Amino acid sequence: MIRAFARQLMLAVPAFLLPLLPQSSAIAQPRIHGVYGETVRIRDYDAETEVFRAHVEVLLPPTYAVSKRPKLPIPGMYAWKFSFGEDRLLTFVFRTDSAISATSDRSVIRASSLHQCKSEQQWILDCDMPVRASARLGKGGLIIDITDSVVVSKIRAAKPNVLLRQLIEPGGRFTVDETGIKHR
Amino acid sequence: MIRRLTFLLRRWCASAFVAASTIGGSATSAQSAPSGPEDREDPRMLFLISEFQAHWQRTWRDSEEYRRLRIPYEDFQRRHIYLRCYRDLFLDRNVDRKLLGKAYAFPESQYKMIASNYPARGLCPTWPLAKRNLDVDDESEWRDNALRPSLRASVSSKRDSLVRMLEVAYSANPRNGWTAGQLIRFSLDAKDFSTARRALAGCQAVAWWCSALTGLVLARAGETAEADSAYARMRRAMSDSVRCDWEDVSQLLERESQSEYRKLGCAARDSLHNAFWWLSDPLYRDAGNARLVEQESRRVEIALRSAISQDERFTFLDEEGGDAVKAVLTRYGRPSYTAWSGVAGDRNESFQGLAINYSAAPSPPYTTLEYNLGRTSTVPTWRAVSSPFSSTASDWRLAETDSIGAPTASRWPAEFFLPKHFLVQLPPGQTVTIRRHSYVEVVSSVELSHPAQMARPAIFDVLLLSTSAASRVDSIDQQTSQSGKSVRLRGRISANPQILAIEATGLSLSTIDARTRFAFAPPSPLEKLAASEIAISDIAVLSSLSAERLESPTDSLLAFLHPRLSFSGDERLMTLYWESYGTHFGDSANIVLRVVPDGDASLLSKIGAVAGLISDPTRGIEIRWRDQEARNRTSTLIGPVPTQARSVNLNLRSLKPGRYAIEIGMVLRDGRSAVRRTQVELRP
Repeated sequence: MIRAFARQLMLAVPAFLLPLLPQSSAIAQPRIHGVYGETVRIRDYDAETEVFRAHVEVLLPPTYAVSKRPKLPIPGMYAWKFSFGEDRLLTFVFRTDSAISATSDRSVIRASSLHQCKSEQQWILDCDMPVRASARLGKGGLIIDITDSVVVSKIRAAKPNVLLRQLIEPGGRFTVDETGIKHR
Repeated sequence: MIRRLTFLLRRWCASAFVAASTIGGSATSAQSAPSGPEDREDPRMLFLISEFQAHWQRTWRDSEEYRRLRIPYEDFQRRHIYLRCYRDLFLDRNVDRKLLGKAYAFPESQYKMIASNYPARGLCPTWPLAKRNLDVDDESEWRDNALRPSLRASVSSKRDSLVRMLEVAYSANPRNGWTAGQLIRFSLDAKDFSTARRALAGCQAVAWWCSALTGLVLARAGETAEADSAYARMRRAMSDSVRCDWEDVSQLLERESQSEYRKLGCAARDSLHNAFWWLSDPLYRDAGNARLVEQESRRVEIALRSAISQDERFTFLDEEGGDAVKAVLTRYGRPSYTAWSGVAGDRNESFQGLAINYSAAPSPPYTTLEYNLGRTSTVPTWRAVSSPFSSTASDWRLAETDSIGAPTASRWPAEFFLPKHFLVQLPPGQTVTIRRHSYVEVVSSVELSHPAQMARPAIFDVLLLSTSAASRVDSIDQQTSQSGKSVRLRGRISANPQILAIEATGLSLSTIDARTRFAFAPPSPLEKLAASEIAISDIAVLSSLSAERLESPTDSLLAFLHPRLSFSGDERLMTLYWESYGTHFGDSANIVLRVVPDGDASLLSKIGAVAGLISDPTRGIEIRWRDQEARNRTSTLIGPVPTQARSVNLNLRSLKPGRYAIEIGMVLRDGRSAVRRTQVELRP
């Protein structure tokens, strides 16, 4: 609860006050992605995907357009693609099965399902191995709760520390980013 | 609170400096693909294109992560200021370092920020900011050069798959200009010219768009002349309003000239654009206007990318800074390298705080835009565009070089492009004309002594050309010469105002081209001389010649035309050659030759040839004689208008260094007179 409060506060607090905020000591393998000679540890609020014993909670970014709840529906296909680890150990897509007219992230979630890809190279529409999971809206985006035991055990064994994410929306908009993974 | 108020006050003060150091922020780029009902985007193909672009960006981010961890720290420091490019961060030299940290250096003074109309951030293109970048090639030559070589195959494979799918979509609807454009775009990115040409053969979209895509394919294949023709067809097929928006050149002008250009209506701009591109042609000797072809290609590429919200890295939505992206691509083309500061840089809390403070819409990834040296600017000054036949050689500033001819980063022009060879400016040389009964001859002498030519000695093919319009280029003479030597070119020219151009292209393995050009207004042929009129030709300054050679001077002496009008040491011994028209030997002309400090001669010209003696022999020379005297040698060409060729040796070694005018005046017994002058510089 304290951590969630801290996350809220960070959006409004100037940078120089950040060190005063409470920080968790449970940090997964640090990822070096700073400049030469400089190590940057991912802080807790960056670790948005959590690996538990029996399930994995993946946080995906909200869409750009429909998260603003437009008056008119925005038609098209929506898809998130995410890979575990820099070596792309496992790649999944959470996508609408066909073009839809969406007015909110909730309507996109209702029309989407999770599939595993053979490789990161595979086209989103060709990834067709269904994976047991549920999806809900959370603070900061969509939360995909993967409960497929085979998938979960593979992720726990590999212990990847980074999640590579992509979001494809109608109209040519896409985002590419990466976040940390916390192993519980 | 106080610190915040102080910061805001500084920002308000700094805004006064914004105008001086920013460009762009102008009207949104109007290069758009056709948008008729036939040209709607294909939603499924758009989705696949977005997916490919996301894959490309993921691969590029991996490449940049690899590089960034291995670059020297000072390279990172140097790049930092150019990554975000907020106005006040870029310009406020008084920024509170305690507040923003010591990480920010100041930008170098030659660079300008390309501002966006919407958010407060802009883009800061630069020359290379590091001596070497790891595992990367010039991205302006091929998009995938931005990726590490080991990662390119996966991207190529995915792109090839995308191109096949686009081909299928296109064959189902060849009238769709959007699909045609995207197919061409990705075929060219894949270097698949056969697919691109096949697509063009079946293009049934709007006529001007098909011609635009044809021009792009030909340009990227290196067929400049054919691309030029295709783009000309494109412009002819456009409606007036579409063409007016498409051809806007305001982004290519210096800031001071932009407002003047924008006041013009479309009709006035049409004729201006003709002069603009005619004068911007890099080499008249080459078929096709390479600079215009490059600009049209940039416009087509911007239109293709604007048809989708974003390309592999940059947004093309104006409200997110896309107008600044289009302005950069219009002015400079694709960058050679884009350095990314990584996830940490994109998410840096300070920057996010600034984004909130300046209401700037976030648009990661934030990168530098670096252009390799060797690029050149061939657009002349606004003054030359407005009045082409008044232009001088200094109206063009080509590539800046250092003392050994290497390109430097000291100047950042309003626009540039990469020619096939490094293009440098020749010195102005000396150009004179002589008149004959029905024609005029021009003689030019120039030295191939640019530092770039001296650093890499080569043989050059030198051409003297004359042009009075874009479609009228005449070759006058051709010679070969080598680095460090002078070359003389001679031939007949028409009597109307024109641009004379001397263009030297390196032969064999040389990668240097050099040129100079200037407006030239030749005199009319002698048949136009009035019955009682007399005239003097241009004064030709020759290398010093022996008295024997000057016994019977003729225009063959012009083979010794000096390549410069600047003299030092022994060069101050010289021979002058000139011709008088309409005079006979028996006219007993009084001739006055003066060498006076530049500025004094005009006064002497006004009061006639007879004037007081020059009192200080180190500041001027005056020589007088009559025709019959043996002081100078004369030959006469008999004809309807007689011509007398004259020469005299001159010794200027006693004069102090400075700029001088050499003036020759002639007065006949019956009072008819003529005068001619030329300017020289005497160096120690």
